[in-house]
Amino acid sequence: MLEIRNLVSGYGKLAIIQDVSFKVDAGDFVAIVGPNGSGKSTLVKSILGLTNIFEGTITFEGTNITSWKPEKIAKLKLGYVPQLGNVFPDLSVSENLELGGVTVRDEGQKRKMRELVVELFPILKSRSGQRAGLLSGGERQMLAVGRALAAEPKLLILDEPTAALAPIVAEQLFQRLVEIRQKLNVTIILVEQNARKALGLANRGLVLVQGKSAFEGTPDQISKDKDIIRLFLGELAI
Amino acid sequence: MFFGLGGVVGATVAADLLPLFSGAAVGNICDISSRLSRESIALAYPAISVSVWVIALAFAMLAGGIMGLVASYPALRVKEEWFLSMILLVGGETFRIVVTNTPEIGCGFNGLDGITTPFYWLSNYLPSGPLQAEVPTGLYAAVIVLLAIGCFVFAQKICNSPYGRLLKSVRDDKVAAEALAKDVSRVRKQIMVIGSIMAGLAGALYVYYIGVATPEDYIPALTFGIWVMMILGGYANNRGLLLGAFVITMLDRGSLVSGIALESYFPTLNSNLIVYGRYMVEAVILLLLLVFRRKGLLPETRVKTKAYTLFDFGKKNAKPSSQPAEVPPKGDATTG
Amino acid sequence: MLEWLPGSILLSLFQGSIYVVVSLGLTLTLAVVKLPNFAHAEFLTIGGYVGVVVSAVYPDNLLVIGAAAFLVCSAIGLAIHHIAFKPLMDRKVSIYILVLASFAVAQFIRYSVFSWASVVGLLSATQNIKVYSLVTLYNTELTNVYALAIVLAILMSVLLELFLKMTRMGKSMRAIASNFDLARVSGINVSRVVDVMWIIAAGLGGIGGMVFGIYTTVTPALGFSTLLDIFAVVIIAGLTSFTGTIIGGYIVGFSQTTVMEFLNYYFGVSLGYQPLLPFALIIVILLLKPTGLAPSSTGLSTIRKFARRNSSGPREGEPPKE
Repeated sequence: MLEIRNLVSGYGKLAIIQDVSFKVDAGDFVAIVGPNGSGKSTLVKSILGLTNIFEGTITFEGTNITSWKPEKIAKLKLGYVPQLGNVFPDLSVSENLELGGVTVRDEGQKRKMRELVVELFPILKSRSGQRAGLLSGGERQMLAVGRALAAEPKLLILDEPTAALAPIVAEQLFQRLVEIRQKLNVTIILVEQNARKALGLANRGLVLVQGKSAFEGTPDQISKDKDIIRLFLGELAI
Repeated sequence: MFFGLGGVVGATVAADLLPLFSGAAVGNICDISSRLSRESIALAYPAISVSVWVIALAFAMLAGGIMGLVASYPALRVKEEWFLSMILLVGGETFRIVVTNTPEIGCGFNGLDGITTPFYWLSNYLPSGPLQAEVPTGLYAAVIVLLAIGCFVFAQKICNSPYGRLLKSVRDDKVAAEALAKDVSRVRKQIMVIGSIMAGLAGALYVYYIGVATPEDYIPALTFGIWVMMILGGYANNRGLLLGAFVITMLDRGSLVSGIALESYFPTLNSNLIVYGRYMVEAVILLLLLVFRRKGLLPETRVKTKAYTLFDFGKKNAKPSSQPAEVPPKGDATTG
Repeated sequence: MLEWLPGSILLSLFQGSIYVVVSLGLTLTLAVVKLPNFAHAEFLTIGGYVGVVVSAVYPDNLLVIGAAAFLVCSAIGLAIHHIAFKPLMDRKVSIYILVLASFAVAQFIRYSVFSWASVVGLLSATQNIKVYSLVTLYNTELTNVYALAIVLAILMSVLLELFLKMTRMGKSMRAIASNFDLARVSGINVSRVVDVMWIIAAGLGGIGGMVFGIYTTVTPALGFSTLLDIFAVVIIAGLTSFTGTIIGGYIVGFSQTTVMEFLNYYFGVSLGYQPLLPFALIIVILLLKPTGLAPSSTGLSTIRKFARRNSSGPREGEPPKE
């Protein structure tokens, strides 16, 4: 579904991702883990066209999308929940959801997706007229995920969606992700600090260290590799 | 604004002091007879003429400095960098409106004229002819060049001193400079006062050169021209400013000369177009610079203090002091 | 002894309405592309001159003249965006560079108009639109120009509000103002929305200038002479609040006319100092309350975010902090 080959990318003239290759198949749940500053966010931003790509190619469903504009990439049904600034704070909750689905042409389909989002996150319905900037942290993350889902994505990319949440709220959000994956059959890429949790949910993992792919494989393989754990994920991670 | 202030203050002081020193009655400095008496005094008393000039310059610098201090109060308290340009624009326009509408300052809208160069009396000793007018002006121009060189050397000295390094640190990272126990707002205030003293001096020199001070001269297009000079040469760079000033002045004079030439060939040509065209060319130059070469023609250089020579920075065999740009950051520099 | 008051209030309302129409465009520019466009006032000049030219052919035909002013300014707005501002914004330059660029654009437009007007002999021109009195109250004539300006201000405010709240394009515009990167990754066609924004912003400036030009003599410096007044309005408004812009427009209108005439009448302050009152407002507000008087949701924080985002290389999304 998504294939990244020998990617070198970053901001300005600064290369942060150094020669990373990996593949995501339809239906996968990929966890990208690694220490702070390893380039996890930059890697997913590169997929969405938010960085400068110096070398390598990114292919999505057979289309070469390397260095496309973000607004063009979004039309290919990629949903993205950025780490920061993941809602439109000055717009109401319902407007946020509406603009999330701006790429969906079919009105009926659009309504169906919004109903589904409200079903997953009932709180959004009671808050629909409220400005998104006034939501609590957990509600905002739910809206961010809902907004990305409104685009009816084939591939959903989440960048540390639970970063600033209380453990119990984070747990709820992870449960929803599992639910979303089952119900909608979307492919998910999850960037997480909490390696143990992410690898527990995923069927494949990518360990990124200093902009390079340090390990790729199933969660079992990663959790069995003592070196990876000790060097990059910390003793307590698994 | 400071430039205009220096001009108006210099002219007013000169107009008030000339008759005072020579014992003539201080009448209304704005009317036509006072203009003639100013010219005759300047012609008759060399000593008074030169000393009044010096005093007028001093007052213009003082006024510039005081205004700089006053203006630094709001200018240093604004929250956004572009608010500063807003404040200075407002200041400039306020100055123009106040002078225009207050006859007590610089004779209001009509301005103050009859300000002759301090060497006007020389024409008494010269044979009549074109030289009679040219020599005092030429001498005065030479004095201006000397003063300009003086200011340039002074500015270079400041920039290449530990104080200059402090200035750069304040500009580049206010918080870091504060963390090193530097009083940022005091430094900013100081530099604003120094800058406006220089502008006041320039204003008074200019008025003495062209002979009149009218508020309508100090239009935003003048300030704009100075900006273009600055960015053309590369800002934060005294040598660059010199180059920029040279280019823009050439453009100015060149357009005047070509204007006269064109007029002689096409008598129907509208002479205003030359001036307008010059302003338009300046605007286009600035836009092109901003888009294609934001650092200007001469980029900013290293501060040359003692430390510079001590460690041989910038020489071939210098120790690698800064990291190349392509190195991926370690730690949590950019991503999370 | 207050016989000057009704006329003065009416004039204030007129002035304020013009400021509202023109400043709404500037507020839109500030909110959506975060550009303090010092060239905005030049649309006023152009609108005024379009009025002069078109009214010579179609005298008194307000609809045609207004539409022409709107369209010409929209075209120029689009042109300056694509020629000057877009290349700079694509390079993610600091807001200070954008301000300088907008000064350059303003100067270029201003002296282009100067050149043109000086060649055709219209350095000071009037529009061929008849001004007549509609009603007379308290010895004060309500002329058609006054009525037109006031109705226009209300109409434009309402239309703009409806556009921003009700239409897909308007919502997208607010989304871009609120979170630029997220708008892009959501698939909103940012460049098209920004084009529409320029069409509206410049067009509003043009219409305001055209109506102002019925009342006053049109000169190439017309725009520049109102530049700081318009900025006073948006600064009072806290830069991006539309309600604030409407309030600010009338505050500046009243300060320039009624307050000034009051000072003149009772304290003998020369009317030449008239522009100083908005200046004083600018300085006081920038120093004491830079978020403006109107409670604004985005306001300065958006501008600040923008400045920070552009000065610090990598573009991270901003924390949705309020």
